[in-house]
Amino acid sequence: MEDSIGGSSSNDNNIIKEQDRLLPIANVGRLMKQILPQNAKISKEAKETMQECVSEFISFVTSEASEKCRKERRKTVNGDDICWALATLGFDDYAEPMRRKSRTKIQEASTNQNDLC
Amino acid sequence: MTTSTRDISDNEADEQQQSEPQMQHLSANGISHAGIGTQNVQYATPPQLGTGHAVVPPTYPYPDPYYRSIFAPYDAQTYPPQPYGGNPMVHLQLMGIQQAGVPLPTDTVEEPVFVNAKQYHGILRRRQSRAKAESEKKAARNRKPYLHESRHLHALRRARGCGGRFLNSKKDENQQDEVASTDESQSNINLNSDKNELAPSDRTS
Repeated sequence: MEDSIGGSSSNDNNIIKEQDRLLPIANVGRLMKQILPQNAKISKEAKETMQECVSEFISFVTSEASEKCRKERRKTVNGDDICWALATLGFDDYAEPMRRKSRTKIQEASTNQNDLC
Repeated sequence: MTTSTRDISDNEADEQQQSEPQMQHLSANGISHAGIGTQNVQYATPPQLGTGHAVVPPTYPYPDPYYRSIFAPYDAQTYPPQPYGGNPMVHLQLMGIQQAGVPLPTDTVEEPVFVNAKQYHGILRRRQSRAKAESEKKAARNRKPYLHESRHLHALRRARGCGGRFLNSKKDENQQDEVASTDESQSNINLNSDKNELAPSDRTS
C-alpha cells in the first residue's frame, strides 16, 4: 500500500500532498448525506468547501491542545487535551459529550487491553 | 503500514465525532446569519461556531480608536485572502485589553474582522502555521482529479451503462448512491471510483 502510493506519486518530499492536508472527500460527502433527506443532492463544490472547513477545524483544535501540551512539557496529545481545547475555544456544548465518549472508549480499552493513542 | 492505518482510523473517528454537531450548528448559524443579513464568508466555520456559542453584546462599551469597523459581531473570517503565489501577512499585534469580540487584523487593505476572544490567539497561531507551511513546503492548492494514473485508466476502460454508471451488479448500488449525491456525473464517477477502490484496500490492510 505505502509502496504503491510512494511509487506512483512524485518523490519530492517538499510538497504537501492534498491527501495529507485534507480528509477524504468521499467520507465527508457520506457524513453530509447522513443528515439529509433521501433524495437530497450535494454539489461537488459543497463537498470541497466542507472538506476544507472540517480539516481546518481539526487543525485549529489540535493546535490549541498541542499548545497546552507544550506548556506542560508533555509530548502526547490525548483525548482530554482535545476536550479541554474545545472548551477553551468556546465550543462548550461539544466538550461534555466528547468527555462522555472518551470515558466509554477508555472503559472499552481497559476491557480489551488495547492501547489507546 | 500499521501506523498509517491507525492514523486513518483516528482521523475517521475524529471526523465522525465532530462533523455531525458541527453541521447542526452550521444550520443554526445560517439562521442567525440570515436574520442579521451579514455577508457570508466561505471559509469561516471555526470562528462562526465560536461566535455562535458566545453571546456577543451588539454595542461595545470601549470602542477601539484604531479601528472604526462597522462589521457585525457575528461576522468572522479564518482564511485571509491569499494570492496564489504570495504569502499571507501575519499580524501579531495583540490587543492590550481583552474585549468581547476582539478585532482581528487582516491584510492592510481590508478592515478588521471581529472574532471570538477565546479563539483570537488560536487563529493567529493557525495563520502562522499556514504561512510557515506555504513558505517551507509548497502546499498543492490545485486539486487533482485523481491520484493514480493506472486506476484512472482502469476506470476509463470499465463498461458503462445508460447514464454513465458502471455495469456491475454489486457495485452498481454503491455507484448509484454515490452519483445520486452529486451534480456532475462524469468527473465524480472517476473520483468516486478512485476513492472507493482506495477504501477497501485500506480496510484490508
